[in-house]
Amino acid sequence: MNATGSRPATGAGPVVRGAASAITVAFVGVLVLWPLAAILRRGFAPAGSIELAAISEVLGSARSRSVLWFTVVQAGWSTLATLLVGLPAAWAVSRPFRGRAFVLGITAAAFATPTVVMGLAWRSVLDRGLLAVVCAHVAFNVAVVVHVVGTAWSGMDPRPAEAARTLGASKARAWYDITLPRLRGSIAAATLLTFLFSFTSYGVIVVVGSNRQSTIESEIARLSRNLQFDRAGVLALVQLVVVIIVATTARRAERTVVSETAASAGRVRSLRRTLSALPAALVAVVPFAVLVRRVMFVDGRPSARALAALHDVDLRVGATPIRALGQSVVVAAVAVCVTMVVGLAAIAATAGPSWIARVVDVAVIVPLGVSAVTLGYGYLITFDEAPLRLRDHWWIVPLAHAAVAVPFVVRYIRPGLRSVDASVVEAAATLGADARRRLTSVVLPLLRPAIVGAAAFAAAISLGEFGATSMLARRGEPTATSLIGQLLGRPGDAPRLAADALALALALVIVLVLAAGNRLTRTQVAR
Amino acid sequence: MTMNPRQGPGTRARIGSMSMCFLVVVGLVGCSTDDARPAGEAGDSGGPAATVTVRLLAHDSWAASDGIFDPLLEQGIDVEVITGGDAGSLANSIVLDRENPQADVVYGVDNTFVGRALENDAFAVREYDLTNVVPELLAEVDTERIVPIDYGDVCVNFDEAWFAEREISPPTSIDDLIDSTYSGLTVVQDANLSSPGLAFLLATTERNPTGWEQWWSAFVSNDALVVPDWTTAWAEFSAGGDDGARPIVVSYASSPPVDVLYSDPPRDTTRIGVVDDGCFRQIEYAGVLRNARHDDAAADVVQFLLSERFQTDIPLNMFVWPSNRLVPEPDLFARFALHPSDPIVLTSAAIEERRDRVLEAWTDIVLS
Repeated sequence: MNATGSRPATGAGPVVRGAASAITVAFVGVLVLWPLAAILRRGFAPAGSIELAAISEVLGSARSRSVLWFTVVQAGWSTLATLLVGLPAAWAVSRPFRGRAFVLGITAAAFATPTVVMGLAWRSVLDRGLLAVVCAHVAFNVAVVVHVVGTAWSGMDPRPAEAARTLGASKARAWYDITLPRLRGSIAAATLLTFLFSFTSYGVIVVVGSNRQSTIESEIARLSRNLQFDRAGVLALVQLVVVIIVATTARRAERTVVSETAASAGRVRSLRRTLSALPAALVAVVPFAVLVRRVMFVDGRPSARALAALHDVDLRVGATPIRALGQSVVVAAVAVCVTMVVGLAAIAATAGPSWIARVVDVAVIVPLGVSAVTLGYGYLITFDEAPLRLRDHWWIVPLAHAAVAVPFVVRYIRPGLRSVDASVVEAAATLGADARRRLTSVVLPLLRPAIVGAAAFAAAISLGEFGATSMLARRGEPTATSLIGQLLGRPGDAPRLAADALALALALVIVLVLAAGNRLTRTQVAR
Repeated sequence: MTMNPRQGPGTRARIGSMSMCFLVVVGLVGCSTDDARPAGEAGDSGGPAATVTVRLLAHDSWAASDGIFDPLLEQGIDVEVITGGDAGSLANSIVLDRENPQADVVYGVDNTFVGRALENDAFAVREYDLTNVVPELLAEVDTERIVPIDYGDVCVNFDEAWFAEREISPPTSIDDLIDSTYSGLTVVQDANLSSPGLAFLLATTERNPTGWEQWWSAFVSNDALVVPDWTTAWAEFSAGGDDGARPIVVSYASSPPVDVLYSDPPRDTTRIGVVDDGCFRQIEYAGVLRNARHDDAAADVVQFLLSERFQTDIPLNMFVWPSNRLVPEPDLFARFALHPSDPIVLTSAAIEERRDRVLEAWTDIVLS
């Protein structure tokens, strides 16, 4: 049963895998590595000859060491806390229960909350410092655990664990020996993503951290602003190296392959599942509770003013809040298309055991590890000439969103792909189905929940992305997140109210997108 | 259960070909947009056939009335606005992409950062008509390259109601902020990351040329809170409309009129007071970038930014004062804004000479 290390049901031919690898590597290479290299060259060889004095200077300084230490410590605590809160909820959402859609929706909405909104919400609940940083990171990342692990868990066959129980294994033993090993891949994936997100965090750190709490990324932001790209470059490289080491380490665990048959459906043990999902839902609800309180009550009295603010607060920056929301949806649609294409290519490319697959696997995670600030300046000097004058087009923004979303999509779908029962595909082949038929009639329907879920999650990432794109120059109409930033940059009640209302509307859109995805997969299962 | 490695190459083939198709499409769209661009520009404007598009890079606080550039359209100039961060980020981007700039004109780089751009030779030399510019704003400015478009003052703000309720007198000078009376009451921005943060730091260095480092040590010991940007500082401010608890914040002399303008429900009063001491004058410039695409049209755009039409639009959209002396201050500003009696005015050269050194020392004192 436990077929660790064997190949997934859909092993691709070398040509296809080669093409898929090329697409993935080209995407990451062009959108991430090239601009990074350009900025590093600016830093280390400003006049042509290479100067590496900054390396020893930065690595030797006490400040760098304390920054690195704090970065690791806060990321470690954030990851641990996220797993503690997220895993019970992941179990809960693996089967239908009352409130499942809410838990999936609210966590994804929290994941996509603009950093500044999330930060300010936690700041109004907790004092600045490590606890607030960890809480904000948990609220952001609990969605990753709930969605990635929950999806894998829902595809898991409950019968082996039940059989073990029948044969006399204790509940704990059955969980530890049977269930946990089969979840290892998805837990590793979720842990990796959560760690990387916290490790490279910037917005949360500066908004809710205390004066002296600085991460590598916030330090890079300070140095870049003073055009010290040599010192910023050293830190960016340190960050990237850590990310690659962590990703490589996690890779082994992530690749645990278990083949499963489709899970049984039906509502089960609803109350216990609700209770298990409660902590995750509560943490994710905090930012929205703060927003709802402020949007519904103006001067302590209930008010519907926020609804009006969505279309009549006009800062004369090119769009009202409601139009900005529309622009976000357009951007998200493009981002999802690109993400799914590159994500599926990456999955195909990383299916086998070859060294290319290993390289591609690590390459996919790189966008999460590269400093957004550095990339922003990198884009400026890299994509400045035809044919790649990406910098001068609005769709550089959805492309950047896709770079962030691809690693998630890969980890969302892959556990599902690994658990597609090979015997089903085999049977289809025996019955005379050709490759195309096997794909459309067998593999895709089985993967459909994961693919739809991943696409919805990618949409959520794009709708809420604030970090990477705030570093890019903006042309055309503002998106919701950039308008929220602008609204919060003015004194006065009206912009504040509009910003809060817009952040809530954005969350609502995300919940609806996820609900739609959920519905789509359920219809399919019922068919 | 073993997996059959022969199964499902179709999956990959299909996904692979889909991906290829998509990338090809994206590529084509990309190329065609590049090619089609000049034609589209001419067609869209509805103006004369020779319409050119001038790209104007502005800071994130950019705001202007609809159709503000319509008069330029009659001259065959269409303006595309690009926003790219605050004054500091703007200066950095025009330095970095100098060889191949993403815009033709930059607006909003202020005296705290314009020296960096000038030193790196980011501007083209042009001739501008400066007849109507307030003369003081032109002192020691390289007006062949940059022209002042507006100015404003970074000042310490306080929550009048907070101090009145507690019968404590609000600070009257920036040196009061290190007094134990005001311990734990002030929030300021990170001078590395924020324009007003840097302005306030420069104000303290000017007020206290030899003792500013000790001043900051005392300020930090007095439990000053340092946050990344204006937005976070305002959220910490007790009159900022959030759940903030600190009644003193670094902001602008124009914060009170903006608070009134954007009040909801509308009111005709403000609880935001401004300390008339240590206000730092920010002067924002515009200029044509070296290697601009249409540099004559670009110079026309810069000249338009000095026109009465644009200058009248400035105050109530961007909350700074126009540099054109023929343009009167709006009534709201006259009533609610502070007009500092003795603002700190530093030339960009004087700032350039000290900025990086001061920032490094500040980081060691405050953030380590």
